[in-house]
Amino acid sequence: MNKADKITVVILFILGVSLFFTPRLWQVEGGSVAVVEYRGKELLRIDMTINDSYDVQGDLGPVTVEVKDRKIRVSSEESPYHYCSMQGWVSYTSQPIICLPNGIEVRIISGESSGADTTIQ
Amino acid sequence: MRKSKMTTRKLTLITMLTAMAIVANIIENSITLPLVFPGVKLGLANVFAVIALYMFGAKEMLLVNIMRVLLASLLSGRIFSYTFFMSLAGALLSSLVVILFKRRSGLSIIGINCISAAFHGVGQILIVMIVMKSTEIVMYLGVMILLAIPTGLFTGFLSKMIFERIRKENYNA
Repeated sequence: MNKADKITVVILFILGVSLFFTPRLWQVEGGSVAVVEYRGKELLRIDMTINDSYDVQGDLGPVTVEVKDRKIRVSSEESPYHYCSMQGWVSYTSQPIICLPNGIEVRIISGESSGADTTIQ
Repeated sequence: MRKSKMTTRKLTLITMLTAMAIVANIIENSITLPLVFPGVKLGLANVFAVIALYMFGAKEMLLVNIMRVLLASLLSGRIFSYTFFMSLAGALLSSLVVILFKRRSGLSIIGINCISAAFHGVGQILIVMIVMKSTEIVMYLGVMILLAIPTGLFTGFLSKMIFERIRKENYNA
């Protein structure tokens, strides 16, 4: 391992860490709204305060999205590797769930109408 | 390293490297590790492509990589699926970047493997962005690059060991 190699590893490390942490600076835990998209097109807007499950149609079959205690996950789907259901519960805005073979993306958006604000009217 | 004049010998060696890369690829694909980011692999198949680059050159590396992606996905029935295009984009982008880096920088085979592992991830994420029409996946690029360091170092040391042995045995003469 020469000097150039070490510099490369350091640069990759800095790049990786900064790319990893930059979106997390603006992340919000327990956002109130989640969106389900099919190839960039919005299919569903989910209220994260209600525990429920939703079905959307993906390319390979139905994709079931489940909400529980302001966390969201893909509980079942048809795909070769089941990566997106393996990902499990997600509660941060910086962690989108992507089901590539189904073309389905689930992500939490911060949502202006958080529970505390809407009750005071 | 002296360039081989015997085309049959070169052809045989490239074919053998491709065959080994295909086997490594299929084995790796059958083991799914739901680590930090699902889909992250060690990249053993890339070792053979890097060896092709060091034994022969840029064209041969591209050949090994493209044939590996095509044949491995054909054999496992994933050809023209999203994973196929992801592997193809990753392999192509990383090959081109690595070829450039080998010519223009003082990187050893270990650094070359790290760069290759990182750009494999970049290529794959680009395909996801195109297919999903979404930019959110960029958030996973950091994880991909961070994981490219250990996997790149591992495959780098492996390629170094293999390449030194090849040089000692003078297979290419």
